[in-house]
Amino acid sequence: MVLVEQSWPIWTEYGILPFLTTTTWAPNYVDPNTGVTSVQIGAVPMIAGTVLSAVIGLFVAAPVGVLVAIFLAEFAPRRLSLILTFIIELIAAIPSVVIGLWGLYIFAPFVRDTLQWYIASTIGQVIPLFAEDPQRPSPFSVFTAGMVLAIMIMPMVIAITREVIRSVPLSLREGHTGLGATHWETIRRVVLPTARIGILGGIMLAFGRAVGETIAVTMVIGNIDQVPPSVFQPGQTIASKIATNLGDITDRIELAGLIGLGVVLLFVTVTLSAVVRVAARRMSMSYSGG
Amino acid sequence: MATSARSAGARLLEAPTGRERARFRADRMIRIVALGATLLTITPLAAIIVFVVARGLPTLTISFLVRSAGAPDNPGALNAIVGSLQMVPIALVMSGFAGLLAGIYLAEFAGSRVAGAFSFIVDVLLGVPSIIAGLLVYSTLVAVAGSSALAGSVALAVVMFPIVIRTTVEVLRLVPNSLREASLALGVSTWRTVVSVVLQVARAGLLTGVMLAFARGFGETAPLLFTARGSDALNIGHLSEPMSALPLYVYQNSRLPSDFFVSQAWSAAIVLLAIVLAINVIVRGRSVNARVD
Amino acid sequence: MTATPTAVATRESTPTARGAAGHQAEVGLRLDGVSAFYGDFRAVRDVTLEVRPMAVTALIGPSGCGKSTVLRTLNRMHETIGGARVEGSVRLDGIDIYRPDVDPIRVRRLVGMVFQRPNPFPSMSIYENVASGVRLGGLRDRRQLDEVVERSLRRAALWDEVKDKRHHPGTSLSGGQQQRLCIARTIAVEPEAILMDEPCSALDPVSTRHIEELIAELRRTFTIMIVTHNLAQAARVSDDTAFFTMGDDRAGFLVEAGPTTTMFTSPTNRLTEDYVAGRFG
Repeated sequence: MVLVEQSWPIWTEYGILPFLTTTTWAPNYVDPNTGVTSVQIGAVPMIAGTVLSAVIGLFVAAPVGVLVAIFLAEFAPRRLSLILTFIIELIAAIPSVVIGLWGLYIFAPFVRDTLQWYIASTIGQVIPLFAEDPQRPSPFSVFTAGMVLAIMIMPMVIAITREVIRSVPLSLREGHTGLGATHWETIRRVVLPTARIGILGGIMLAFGRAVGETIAVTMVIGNIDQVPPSVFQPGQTIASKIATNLGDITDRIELAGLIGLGVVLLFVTVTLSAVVRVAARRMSMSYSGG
Repeated sequence: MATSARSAGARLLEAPTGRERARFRADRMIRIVALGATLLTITPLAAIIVFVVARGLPTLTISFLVRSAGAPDNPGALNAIVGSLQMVPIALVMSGFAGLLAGIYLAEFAGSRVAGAFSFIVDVLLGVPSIIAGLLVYSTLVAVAGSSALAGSVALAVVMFPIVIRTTVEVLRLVPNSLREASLALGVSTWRTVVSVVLQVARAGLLTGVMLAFARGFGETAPLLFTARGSDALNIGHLSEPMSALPLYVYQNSRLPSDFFVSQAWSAAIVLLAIVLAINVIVRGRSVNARVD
Repeated sequence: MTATPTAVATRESTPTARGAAGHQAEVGLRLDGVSAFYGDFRAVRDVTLEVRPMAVTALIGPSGCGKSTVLRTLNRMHETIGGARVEGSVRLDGIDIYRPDVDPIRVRRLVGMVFQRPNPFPSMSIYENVASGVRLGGLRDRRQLDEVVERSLRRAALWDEVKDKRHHPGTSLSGGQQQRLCIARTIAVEPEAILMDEPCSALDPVSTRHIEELIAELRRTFTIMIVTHNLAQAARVSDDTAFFTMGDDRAGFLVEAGPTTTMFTSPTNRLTEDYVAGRFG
C-alpha cells in the first residue's frame, strides 16, 4: 500500500500503459535524431530480463529437479536419500551474495567458455536469441543469471516435488506394479500423473522465487537497461534494477518508477504464490473429502 | 481346450522379448540419469565452498578480522562482522517474539477459519522477495529518517517474521493432541496447557525455527542495501547511523575495481558462509541424525 | 503342527469340465515350505499348499495371521516392501517363480492382484485404467485396445454401467464400481490366476454382493485366491478354504486346508473348528 502510494506519480503522471510499454529507461532522454529531451521510464527491459532469466532458470531446474526428486523419493536407499536431502537443503541455505560472488568470478566465465560457447555456435547460428556477441562474448548475461537462478531454485523444486511424490498412496503404486510394471513405468504412468498438480505448484513457487531473487542476479546479469537482443547479452531484472539504482536516485519521477517496479514485482510474486496456495488448499480439501 | 495358450510356467522361462528388454533398459537408464541429475545438483555446493575457501583464505588474516574497512592501513571486515552481530540479533528480537506469539496463537488458539486465513497470508508473505522488504522500509523509515542500522534491522525483521511464524506453527502441529487432551482433562486451562505442556515439548523445535530465521537474516543482502546501506567505519551501538553487515560487505567489495578488495570479499564470504552453514548443519543435522538412526 | 496339503487329495469336483469352459491351460499354483519375512521378523512360517486350478480358494484366519502376506508371495508383491524376503518355493505349472532367471514382472502379469481398497489410477479415465496393463505389454492398436477394454469391462460386469462414460475419470465411480474396474484392469492382461486381498472390506453389502457374483463367474476362467475376514463370504464364494492362524512367535502358519464344505462342517483341527464357530478371531 505504501509502495503504491509512493509510486503514485509513475502511474498517474507517466501513465500505467507507457510505464509498462516503454523500452527505454532514461529520465533525461535525448533523442539522437531530433535532440529533443523527454522523460522515458519504461519497465519493459526489466520485465523482459526478469521473465527471460527466470524462464531459463526454470527450464533447467524443473526437469533436473524433478529427476532428483524421483531419485530421492523412489530409487535412493533411505539413508542415502536423507543425507542427500540434507546436502540439498544446505544449498538453499547458502547466502545469495555468496552464490553471486562465485557466479561473478567463477561460474560466469565458466558458463561463457562452455555452455554459452556451445549453444551460441550451434543453435545461435540459426536463432538470434541464442547468438553471442562475436567480438566480445560477455560472461554477464541473462543466460548466466538463469543458470545461477537454476542452482538457487533447485532445492525448492526438489523439496516440493519429493514431498508430492511421496504422498502418492502406496495402494496406487501397488496397483500398477501388480499389473507387471517396472518401477519406472509405475513412476511415469501413475506416480507423476497423480502428483502432476502438486509438482506444477512447486515449479510455480520456484518461478516466483526466481523472479524475486535479487543479489545473485544483480551480480551476474550485467546491469544494462536493455531488452536483451540475445540471452547471451547483459540485461537487467526488476529486482536488480532496484538493487543497483535505488539510493542514488533523486529524480522524483524516476524514484517513483523504481518503486513502481517494486509494485509490479510484489504483485507478480503475491499473485503466483496466492494462486498456488489456493489451488493447494482446494486439492487437499478434495482429497480429504473423497 | 486351451490349445493356443502355452503353459503359464513355460511363459515364465521364455527369454525376454525385445520389448521387455527395452522396458528393463529404460528402468535402468532412468536410475542412472536420476543419479546423474542428483550429482549435478550437489556439485555447485562443493564448487562454491572450494572456490570461496581457495580465493578467500590468503587474505583471511587476523588483521582482516580485527580491523575495519575504514582503517588507514590493512583494512579488514570488523565493521561488517560487528554490524551483522548487531543488526541480526535486533531483527531477531523484533521478529522472533512477535513471530512466536503469532505462531502460537495460530496453532493453539485461533479458530480454524482465522488460522486458515492467516496462514494463507503467511504463506504468501513467504513468497515475497526480500528486496521488497528493503523497498518497503526504504520508502517509509528511510524516507523520513535516513539510512540507519535500525532501518536495516526492521527490514531483516520483515523477512524473518513469516519464517518464524511458519516454523512455529509447524512445530506445534507436531505436538500430539493426546498430550493437550491429557492436560485439559486434568482441569488445566487451555492457556496453562499451552505454556506448561505444549511449549515444553516443542521447545527444541521452536529454537530450531528461530535459529534458521537467524541464519536466513544473517545471509540477506537485499533488505540492507538501501536501509543500513553500509559504512566503512566501525559502528557500535549507533543504531541511527548507517552500518555495514557481512553480506553487504561482500556485495560492495565485489564491485570494487581492485583485486585486493575483491579478495577481501572472498574472505568475508568465508566468514559468512561458515557462520550460516554452521547454524544450518547444527540445527538440521540433528534432526537428520535422528531420522537416520 | 504344520498342516499337510489336503486340498488336492480331497478334491471332489471335476476340474476338467470346468477347465474346458475357459480357454486357458490349467494352472497349478503350489506353495512349498513358504516363509515370508519383513527384515528379521518372520511373518509367515512354512506354508505348504496346493491350490486347485479354476476354483476359488479362500484364505481365512484371525487378523495378523499372515494370510495377506501369503497372498503377496504368490505374485512376488511381497518383496516390493523394503527388507522383505521369501523362503521356500512357489511353483506355477511346476516352475518356481522365485527362480533367479524368472523376472517378477512376468510373474505379476500371470498372477494378477486386486487390492483391499479400490485403487483406480486417479489420473486416468475408466478406459485408460483398463488399458493400462495391456499397454504395458506393448499393445498400441486402438481397435484392439477398444476390444480388450470392452471385453474386460463386460467380464467385470461393469460395461453396461460405464459404456457411455468410458472417458470419465476412474475415480468418479462408486466404491463398488471402482473395485470392479480394478478387476477389469486385472483380467485385461489375461492372467492365469487372480489374487484378491479382502476385495470387499471397503464396500457396502450391495457392492459386496456384486463382487461375489462376479467371482462366481470368473472362477470358470481363472484360478482365484481370496483373502477374507468374513467367514460367511468365504463360505459363499469359495470351493476350498485354507485356515491360517498365528503361532506363539507371532508368525502366521497354515492350520489346514480343504474343500470349503468340509472345513466349515467337519474340520479336522480343533483350532479351525473354534474359528469357524466364531469362538476366536
